[in-house]
Amino acid sequence: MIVVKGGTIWTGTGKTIENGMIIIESGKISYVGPEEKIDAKADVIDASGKFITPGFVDAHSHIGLIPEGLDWEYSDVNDYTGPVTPQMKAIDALDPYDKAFEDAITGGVTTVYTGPGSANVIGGVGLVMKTTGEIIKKEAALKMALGPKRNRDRKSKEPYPTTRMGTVALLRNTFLSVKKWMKKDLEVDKEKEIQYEVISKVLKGDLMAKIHLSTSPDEIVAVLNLIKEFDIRASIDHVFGGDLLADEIAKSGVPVVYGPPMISRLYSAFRYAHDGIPVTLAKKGVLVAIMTDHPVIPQKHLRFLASVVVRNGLDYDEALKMITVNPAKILGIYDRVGSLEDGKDADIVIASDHPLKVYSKIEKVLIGGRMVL
Amino acid sequence: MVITGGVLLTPFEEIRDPVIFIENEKIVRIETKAEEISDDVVIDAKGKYIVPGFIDPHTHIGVYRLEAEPGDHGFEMGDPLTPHLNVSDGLDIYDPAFDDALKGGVTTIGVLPGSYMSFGTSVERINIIPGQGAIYKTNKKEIKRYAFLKVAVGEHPKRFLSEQKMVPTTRMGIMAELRSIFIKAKDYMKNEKKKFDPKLEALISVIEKKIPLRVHVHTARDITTFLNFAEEFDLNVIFDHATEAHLVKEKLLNVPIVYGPIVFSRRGTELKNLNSSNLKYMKGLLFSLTTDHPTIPIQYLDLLAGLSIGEGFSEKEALSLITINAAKILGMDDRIGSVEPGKDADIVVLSGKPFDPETKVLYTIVDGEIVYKRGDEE
Repeated sequence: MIVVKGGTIWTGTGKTIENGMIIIESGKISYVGPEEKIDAKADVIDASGKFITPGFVDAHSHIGLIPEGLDWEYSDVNDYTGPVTPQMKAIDALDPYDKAFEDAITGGVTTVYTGPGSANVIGGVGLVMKTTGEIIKKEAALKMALGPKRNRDRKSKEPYPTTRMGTVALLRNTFLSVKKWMKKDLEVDKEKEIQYEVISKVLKGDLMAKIHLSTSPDEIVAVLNLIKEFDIRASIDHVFGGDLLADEIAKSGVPVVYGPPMISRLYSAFRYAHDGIPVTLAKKGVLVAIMTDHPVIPQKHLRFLASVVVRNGLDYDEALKMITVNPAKILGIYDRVGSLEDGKDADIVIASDHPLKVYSKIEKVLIGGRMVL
Repeated sequence: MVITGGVLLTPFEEIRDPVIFIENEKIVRIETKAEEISDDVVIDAKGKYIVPGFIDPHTHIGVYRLEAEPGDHGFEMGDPLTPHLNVSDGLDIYDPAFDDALKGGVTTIGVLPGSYMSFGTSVERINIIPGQGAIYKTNKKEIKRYAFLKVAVGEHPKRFLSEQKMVPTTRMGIMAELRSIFIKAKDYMKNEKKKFDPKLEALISVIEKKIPLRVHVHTARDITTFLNFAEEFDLNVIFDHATEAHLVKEKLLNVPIVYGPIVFSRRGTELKNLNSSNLKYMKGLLFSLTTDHPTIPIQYLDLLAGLSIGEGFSEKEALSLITINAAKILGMDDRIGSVEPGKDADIVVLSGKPFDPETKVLYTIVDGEIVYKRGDEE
């Protein structure tokens, strides 16, 4: 039994407990509340004067797929085999020895979604893991990506669409074909069957779609329509320009994984990016998480990005939820992580001050009740 | 103009309830007990914080076209050595980043010719001498057109040159090219019947130590190599990025460093030792922090400095990293970098404590003029 005592506990459930106590048994939280009498046999972590939060969760990263400090031959995030590659799985490329995992822990990041990049319209299956290496979900989401210019110059098995309408049409027609195949109205070759098997999970609601939208607001409209048309579970990711459609997104109920914050409007693809977007979306009632998109922003700086969101006008509580509660809900793992509650994994961050104060220091991190920092 | 009340961080000392008198673009005096204040403009800073305007010595503001494509660049592609180019000649003063800078309290910037814009996983590419850098105030006034000459060594020029099927492609080749052009420039200076050569002409003020070299460098080995080169030709150098500076700290006690951007992933092998926590080993060196805008948007310079506090720096030291240290590195600490009588009136009024994410810039004053005032947008 481990007991964390003292300090301010931010549970993520709306409660902040001063001079609180957390009891951990077999890697799980068994008590969160005011300080009580401590079992004499317990290992006690004194967190008096500290700020205690759930471990941080990043709902969109490429950690372990582009190991840091190495060259391109180690980068396994985008395979240009063709525009539709649902048969690709992040688990097959994951490098658990990526230095970024160690770093992530020093930044309080305990759970990440990592998956294929945006090279293909349907890119492949991403996974959710603890930063200690434990895989939580081997198949967490099927990555899809919009954007007009995909690998025109590549020699691939099938041509890539080159327009936004072409991309949306490819998605729709693929979904329609898979539906027909599911009803045995359509026969396809073995190679397609392997692909359709994966896509059918999305259409049946067994696997969520993670849809990359970074170019322009019209893509957001197109994708919200697709999500509704095929009644799939999905998050929309990046969502630059989302503030222009905040009401529509809120009405759709589709969650947003925004970001990364703190990028410049450098490229035509980012001309709608600005750090006020997650603030606007959150204020409209959209469920918003923020991403590092590691290695775009290093994994360990997830909380720094939440600070940037505070700088742009959101309060500390809501910004902290964007790296704890909200990503856990979006990834469908809120029963295990994202808040400090009875029965949840003991993924706990102890910081010298509120962790979104950029000058605070992460002093201790527990994952599954094990002290990893 | 008069600014009155609040807490002034000069950054050398903390002065409570100051009265700062500004005349003709300069700070003329600072009192703590004000007589009756009568002035055209009085800024009441009661309950607020007053700090010097922030300085970022290494930006590419105005260099990259907004809405460009990945791979666009801020250096000439066809020639590895272009010391005769000046960044001011390609600088877009309508870049909205100037406004972002003012909103973020940044008042002075160094602008350098750039590398390939890199994003995500892409590794930077750059030629060996991209050209001359300039110093600007963010009110768009050019302070110094030829302020430094940028040089790049190590993996990034190697990568660029080999991809372009150009030469040289090794570290020894790059240093040999540099040595050769500096030897030629020295001969050129002595030659009485010289034919005008714009490239060698540009090196004269570097050799005369009027202009420092700004060296784009990451690894300890390349830092060491370049220190030897600087000694050989007796040059003033400033190291930029300097990712592995902490590994050769003892060699850098007299060399200014523009460090960072510290929030950046380890792209390519050259950056394998990058870590924002290395800041804790940088104590004792003269260094400032950089956004490398657009790598990190310019308005977050202060938040980057805030990270140093978590690595053991005091608040004063953290503030110095983006004010007085940067001014010293730019050779302008007689004019900027602190709030003291005689200096340029580049002053920022903050809604709360510096480095707090919820703190907002209320006023940015450059050369004694309010160039940004926070409206009622929130």
